[in-house]
Amino acid sequence: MNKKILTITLLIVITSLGGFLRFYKITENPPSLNGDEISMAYDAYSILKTGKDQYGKFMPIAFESVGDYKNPVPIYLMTLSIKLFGLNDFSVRFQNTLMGTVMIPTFFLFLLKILKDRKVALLGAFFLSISSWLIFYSRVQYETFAYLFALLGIWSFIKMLEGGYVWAMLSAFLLILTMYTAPAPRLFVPIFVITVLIFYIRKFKNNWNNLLIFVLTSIVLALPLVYATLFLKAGTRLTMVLISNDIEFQRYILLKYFQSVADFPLLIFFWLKRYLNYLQPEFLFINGLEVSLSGVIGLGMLYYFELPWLILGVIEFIKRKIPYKPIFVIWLLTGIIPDSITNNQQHTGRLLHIAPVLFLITTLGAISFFKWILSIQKKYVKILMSGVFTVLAILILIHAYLTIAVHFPMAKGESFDEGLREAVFYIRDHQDEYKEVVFDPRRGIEGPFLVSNPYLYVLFYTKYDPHTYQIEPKVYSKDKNYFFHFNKYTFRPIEWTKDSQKKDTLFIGSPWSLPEKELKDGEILQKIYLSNGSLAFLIVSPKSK
Amino acid sequence: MKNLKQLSIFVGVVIIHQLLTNFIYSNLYPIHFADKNFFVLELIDKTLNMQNILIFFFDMGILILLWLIGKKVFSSRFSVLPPIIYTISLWSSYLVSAGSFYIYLSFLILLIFYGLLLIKSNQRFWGTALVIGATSIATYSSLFLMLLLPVMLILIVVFKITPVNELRLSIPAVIILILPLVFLIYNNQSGFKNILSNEVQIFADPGLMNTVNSYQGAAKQKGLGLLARISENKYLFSVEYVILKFTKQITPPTYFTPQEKLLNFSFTPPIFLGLLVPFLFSLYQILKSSFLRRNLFLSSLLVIPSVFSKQMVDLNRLIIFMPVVTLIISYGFIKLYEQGKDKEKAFLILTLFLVTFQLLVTLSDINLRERSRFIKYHSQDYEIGNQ
Repeated sequence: MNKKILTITLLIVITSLGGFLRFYKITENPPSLNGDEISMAYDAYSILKTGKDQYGKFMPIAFESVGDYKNPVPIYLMTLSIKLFGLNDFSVRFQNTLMGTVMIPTFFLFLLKILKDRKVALLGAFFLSISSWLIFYSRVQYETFAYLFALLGIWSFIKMLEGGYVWAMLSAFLLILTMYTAPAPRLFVPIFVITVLIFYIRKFKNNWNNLLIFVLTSIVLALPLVYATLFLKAGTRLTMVLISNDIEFQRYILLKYFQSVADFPLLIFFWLKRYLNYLQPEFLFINGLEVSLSGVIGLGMLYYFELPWLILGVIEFIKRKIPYKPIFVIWLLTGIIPDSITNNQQHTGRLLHIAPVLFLITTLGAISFFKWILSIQKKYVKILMSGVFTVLAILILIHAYLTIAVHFPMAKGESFDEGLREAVFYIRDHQDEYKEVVFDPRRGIEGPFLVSNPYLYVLFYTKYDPHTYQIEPKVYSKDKNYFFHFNKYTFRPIEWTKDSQKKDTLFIGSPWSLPEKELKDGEILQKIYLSNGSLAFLIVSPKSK
Repeated sequence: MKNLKQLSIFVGVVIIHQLLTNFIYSNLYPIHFADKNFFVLELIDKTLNMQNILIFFFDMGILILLWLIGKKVFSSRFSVLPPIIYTISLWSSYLVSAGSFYIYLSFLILLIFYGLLLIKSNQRFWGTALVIGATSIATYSSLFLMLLLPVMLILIVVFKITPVNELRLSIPAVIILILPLVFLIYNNQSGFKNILSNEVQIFADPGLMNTVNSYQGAAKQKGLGLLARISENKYLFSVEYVILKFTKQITPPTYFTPQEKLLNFSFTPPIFLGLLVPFLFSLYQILKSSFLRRNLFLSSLLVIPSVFSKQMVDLNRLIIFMPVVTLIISYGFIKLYEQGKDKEKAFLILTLFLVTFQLLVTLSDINLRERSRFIKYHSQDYEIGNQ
């Protein structure tokens, strides 16, 4: 009984620690809501107020966004937090962070079920709670809870193999829910399920009904998604990001555009190379998280001190008797597939659904490591070894804290659209003084290479009425030039030589659009800086001659 | 009769290897490394460049040694397996075509290894002669091997891989033969420092130190300067970087994918991906045996020259580790074959299919694109840098 209370107490402590690391200054770091977050947030607000998305579609399955379609589950869930906390940065990130925290005790229970060892389960939950990878993705609205659903779905799947049609239905529901939550599981779930079913088909010998229920439930629940993907363009992004369009492949490997079946064998080996790259130490331990500038020591999916644990963990995983071991192997191997077939760089965010397996292995490795330390006969060697390792681990954790707290906002503020919030706050407070507000979407420290969507920030931070926005007239550009206008807001490139003549107009643009040397005294109303000190935006109004 | 069969298979392997090397040479010529001088000659400011034809012969010597080692390490019927694996991995063919000095060093290392095997099989005279001769030549040829080989010989004894009495002549003889070189270094300290700084390039990139400075500066601005000083300093980052580089040398993607580019441009992997299956199976078997584990650990020291290079992985320097990988793969193949259950057979078939498929795709790719690819990376400059 005492052991049980101690376990529960420790689990509460670990979960609280994980919750603190996830919720602390959640609205300040990452330094701004990024383009995806803001788009999902305004859609959620729009659904909450009108039942329709920003484009006026009633309760869609796939939310149209700029250049792609968003998954429905995060947006519908976000309506709850917006209802609770209002339309602000906190409510956008809250549910994701909460789910990231809930993952900690869930993982504990999962490990307990699989390994039947409280200490190991607690240790696993602890590693998960302090993981910089999971902390980072819990602090942004990033469909993170797909991995919670994936874990629960696979857990139910394992239970289904043991019998019980309820588990079959629950597993199907949770796994399909994962597919509605994030893009990567849309590919992962079917591949995983089919592979596991082939592997365990004998298990259903006396239990075909369970399999039938699972398959039928899955098909029924997945139908809307399949329909949206095939007929409502929700699969647009999938075709855009396929590995055959990879720049490295086309430019340096194939030396031309991917055109015919004859190019396919080379593509296979390029994909295999990409697939095995997930084993690269720099991706796993040094810079996979991409929260710092490339080429420097940043953060990976695991901490550097977990390197020996991962190696030992693999050995221990092979040696140890673990129920349903093939499921974990299939989970890990198929989990990498979705990210590996995209044309972008490896993305740790698209690997979140394999986190439970990775932490299971790391935990097993840590246990082996601790046992080895304890088995050292000479006391001074034991103390020395454990002391050195502990100091190294602490130093690496401090570095992780500094990376997230200090270096990340400086390195990546711009890619999180930092500065747009402050610019819109100015607009919100002063827009009545102007006939028109012109916002240039082009920005960038090195040059005006980035194009953001400031209109979404205007909608979000001015709490623009969704109903008005859906029905009011809007003007879009018909050509390549960015132009968008509604109400008194215009989003277009600023040409200061012409625009400087416009009176009663507020201009917001980067220093590339509004060169300071061309501005007269008093025309600059406010300057907005990034976390790294670079000038992001100038807010300007032309003065009369 | 059996021997004749083995010999004819081996001759066939040698012919195929030469054909593949010539095929690559004809596609790559005149792509080449800058000439590399012998260590001892560089010390006394003299130059002797290794001719390409000699490198071809050393490559051939490696094949023969792998065959002989295969005979000693595995049973006779599997002895041609290491040369076959060496042949179908195009790594050495690329380096031979570009005139790599490290092919010569690989040959010497294999000679030492073969010498040790001879000592173990009671052919002490020839074994000792080979160990002493090859170790001495190797230490005079390369700075890295001068530092590595004596340490490795001592570790062989420490790890109880070979009993000390079997090396009682070799170790003192090697030390005595190295003494003139040590004396030469002592007299040419500035020259030695130059060679050292040319060879040890691991910290040549100022990026690491710039990171430390910018990290500490940023943390100081936020009032966290102390934390940055203790956790983001050059010592800790340097250690992390060295561990990263070492780990990188021993991770499978380095060998089985074109992640690290041969001659800094190619899409050909050093070893074909299909061989990953026997490699992993072999590792699994090796890790179970304490003696083999010690052997593996000791031989992994051969990646050190690549660790100390400027690039994350230097496939030219890493070639000296290739014979080890070849033997590991061969061992995996043999184990898969011997265990011969359905699962193992399936793995063997998968391996053979993948290797054949990749060989065909790769040869066609070399023929069609390798030269254009080189021009894309290096334009018309056919010298691909120092070794």
